[in-house]
Amino acid sequence: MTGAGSQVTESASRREDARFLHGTGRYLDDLSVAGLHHIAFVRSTVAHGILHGVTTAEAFAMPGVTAVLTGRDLSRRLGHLAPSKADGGVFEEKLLSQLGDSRSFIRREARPPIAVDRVRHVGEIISVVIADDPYRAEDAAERVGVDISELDPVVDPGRALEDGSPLLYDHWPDNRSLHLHVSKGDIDTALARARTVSRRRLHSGRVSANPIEPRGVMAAFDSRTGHLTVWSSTQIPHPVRTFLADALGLPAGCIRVIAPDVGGGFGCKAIPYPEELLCAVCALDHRVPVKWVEDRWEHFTSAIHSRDQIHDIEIGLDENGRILGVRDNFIVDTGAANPLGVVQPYNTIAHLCGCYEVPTLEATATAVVTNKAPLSPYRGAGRPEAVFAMERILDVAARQAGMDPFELRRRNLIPAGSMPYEVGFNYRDGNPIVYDSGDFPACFERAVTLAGVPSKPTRSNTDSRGRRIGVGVAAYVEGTGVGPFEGALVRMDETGHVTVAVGACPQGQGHETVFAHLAATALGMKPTDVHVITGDTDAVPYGWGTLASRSAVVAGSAVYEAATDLRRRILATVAADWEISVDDLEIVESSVRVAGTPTRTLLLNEIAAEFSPGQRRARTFGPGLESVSYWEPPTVTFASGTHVARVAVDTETGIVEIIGYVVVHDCGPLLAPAIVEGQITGGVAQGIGAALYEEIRYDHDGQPLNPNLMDYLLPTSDTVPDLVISHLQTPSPLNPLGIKGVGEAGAIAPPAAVANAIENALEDLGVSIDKVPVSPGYLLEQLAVASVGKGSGFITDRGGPD
Amino acid sequence: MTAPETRSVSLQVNGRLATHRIEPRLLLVDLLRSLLGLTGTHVGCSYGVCGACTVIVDGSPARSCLLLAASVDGAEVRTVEGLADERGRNTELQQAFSDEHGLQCGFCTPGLLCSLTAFLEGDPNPTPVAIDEVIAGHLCRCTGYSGIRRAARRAAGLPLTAERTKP
Repeated sequence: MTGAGSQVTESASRREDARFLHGTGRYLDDLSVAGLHHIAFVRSTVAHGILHGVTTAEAFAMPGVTAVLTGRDLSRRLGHLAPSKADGGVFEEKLLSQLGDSRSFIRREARPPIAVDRVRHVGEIISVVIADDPYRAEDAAERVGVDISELDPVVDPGRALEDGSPLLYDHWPDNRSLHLHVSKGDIDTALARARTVSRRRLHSGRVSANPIEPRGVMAAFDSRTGHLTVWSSTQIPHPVRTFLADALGLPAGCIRVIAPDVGGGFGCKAIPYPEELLCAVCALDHRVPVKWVEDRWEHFTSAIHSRDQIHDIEIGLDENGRILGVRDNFIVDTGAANPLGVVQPYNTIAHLCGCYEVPTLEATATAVVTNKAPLSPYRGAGRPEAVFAMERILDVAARQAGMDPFELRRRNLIPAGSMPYEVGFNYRDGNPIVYDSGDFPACFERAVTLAGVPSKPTRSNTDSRGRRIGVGVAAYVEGTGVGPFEGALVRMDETGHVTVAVGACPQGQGHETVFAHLAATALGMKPTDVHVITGDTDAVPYGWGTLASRSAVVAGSAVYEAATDLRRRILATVAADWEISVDDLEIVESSVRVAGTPTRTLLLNEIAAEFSPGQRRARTFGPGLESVSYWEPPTVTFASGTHVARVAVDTETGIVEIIGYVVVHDCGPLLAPAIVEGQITGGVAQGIGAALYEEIRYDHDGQPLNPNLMDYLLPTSDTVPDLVISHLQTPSPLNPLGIKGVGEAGAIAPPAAVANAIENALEDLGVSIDKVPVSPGYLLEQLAVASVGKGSGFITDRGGPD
Repeated sequence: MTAPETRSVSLQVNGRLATHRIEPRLLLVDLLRSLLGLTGTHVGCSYGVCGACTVIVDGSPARSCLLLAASVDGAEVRTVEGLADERGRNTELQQAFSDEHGLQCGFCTPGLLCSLTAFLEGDPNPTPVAIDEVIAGHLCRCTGYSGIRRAARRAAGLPLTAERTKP
């Protein structure tokens, strides 16, 4: 058999493609059941207020309406939404106890799934309308009356922390929902020793995931079986089932959650949502199957937002340009809730040191609640913010020290010989952060070479159109393949065909293709004889989901382990028959044979038939050919990479064009190169969006200013260049395939690399780029600030060369 | 309660005549999806920006979320389900999307296929820039567009890497 970690498929074509190309994919809104009704939610148009009452009579009288429900109707039935057990909750307690710092805490608010007496953001659900037709549900929703008296909204996260700020949660002492403090070494001493200390305030803007398929839920109760089935456009069917079981007081075994084809997720479909619970309770209590499909306004105002961190970071260098220490205090604006708790802020802390040797570190995260939509991880999950802070401050420090920014990085990159490298504090899973593999200098140099960066970059080049050309670099690490586990079941049926069921739940990553290849390779079969089931809680008892750059690593390892175990059992029965050692047998083309001698063979389907209950092999070895693996990673495995961006900046219009982009990435051996490169390319496009275009803006009243795709700009084809991608393939020692995750990597570095390139292009003008996205308006403002000689105001010179 | 006003519309959809009594407010995309069961046409934004709902109406690409079904009475409509031949074989464009990894989640794909099919039928020898302009009318959140551009160039018989549109 092919060894672990080898490439499973060279072809770009995936088995998923045919149905997607012919319009026969089945996404949430394509599903129906007999008697289906439709839900429209009435949502708050007020950011912060007391909800006095909801009038439903007029809506209820509208044609086709089955029910109109309010928070008061449902609150006793549902109680509050328990804090999510998805991901954050699993590791959170352990992490907080390990931090052992009296300053660190997390406050979690059990929020009602539907507003009862208070609204805390535009988009919060106030009423549920069930009707026999989606148009009629919306007609009736317009007739629901809502009586709200407005409270002072909390919009600016800095002001939210001031004494006297209005509170979102009246029984809290302030608006802080989380505080994390991590340190290694004595930062005060380190910075006091430094030749130069550079400081900046750096802001990663608030973004929205915006998969092209919005969220959606369908729920049906079967009164014959007593089972509730919930179809959801989710990344995490098993955690959603647990969430529903807890909230509804039902046995988990009576609930089946199915994710059909999911049209993109990127993290925004990786938490349990109130809409899933509300659809389920409507199907249960009103005994009609119901469906809700999110519209784009709802996506912008009630699906999670992400990023939105403001960092005050400082770095000290010695006289040789070596980093002595980094101190970073940052605020996360979590909006009205932070469902995954520590995940995003702690990821930022854990990835702050990146590829560099940072001997002393102090990092403090403060999460603040405001009257905005909730915040949770989105592709990158705290890492783009860390890399934006660290890689920007390195450029600032290089300039202050009179060094080339590429050379400064070279002096601080962790050498390959130092692997595995201990960073000096713990990951959020409670294990020490150890970079298990990689070659950061090689990655960096290859990216610099591919980008054609001259050894002494010439400044202020211009192109034929008079635009200034700049080059920027950003390196990163990413802890991938996080636990707690993923489940895979591999079953050979009586016809000799194999079914693989995984808890992982794809949104376009090609799981069916990759997992079929992994199982087929282990079992000596054709991939076409392997059927793959994803996103169905009835197909495998325990699962987690597809998020956090984890599925190839964690689900892939589970599939590999289960298939390898099945192979062992098959060979053991044949070895017993033939009185030969298992080690002398192999499976080739669905036949067991003595290795290298195709004369004596036994077909897998003949063997499988004899495993039916009562048959010969079943009597000896037990019935059925099935193996289940719940693969638990020991801890995360670190992928790494370097991006180099080349930009053209028009100082008249403030428009930036990315004219070249290089990615060198190390995710270990490539299982499916086309899929890996597709993940990187798509991630970079989202990173370019965050760097130049995407930002959710709110006004002083907490009203979203651009909750639509005309005013919130997603990258289009003309804004994303063809990338130059190259791979390092240092294997991970932490899983049988030797692989590291790649789902989020592309999105991590672009904001930093692009911002560095823009600042490089404008270096002689003294322009400072302190936030992303770098919109034309922001860039023109910074040009104006520079031209009146104010600079950024955050740099203090402590005796550097100039 | 008065019954809503209805009217009859007849369309040729993927070569078959479809006649339905509908409310005047029914959108073309909902007629295709709900009444005809052609769920390959997707709704991403419902206001004409993302392009996922694009179908071919009388030979031209059109956003089916912005068209009232009643307004295209008598038209000939092609959807993603009608692109392949009768035996279900991929068109060159569909095959190129698969070969060049021009799709991931597949949600935006039908709209892109319809726009590019209509475009390539109208201009079998397009420039890369003209192809890029068609793609730039669609939002894809998964692929970063590179695979889509390669697929369209391949289907048009152009080199896979080409000088691109400048903003």
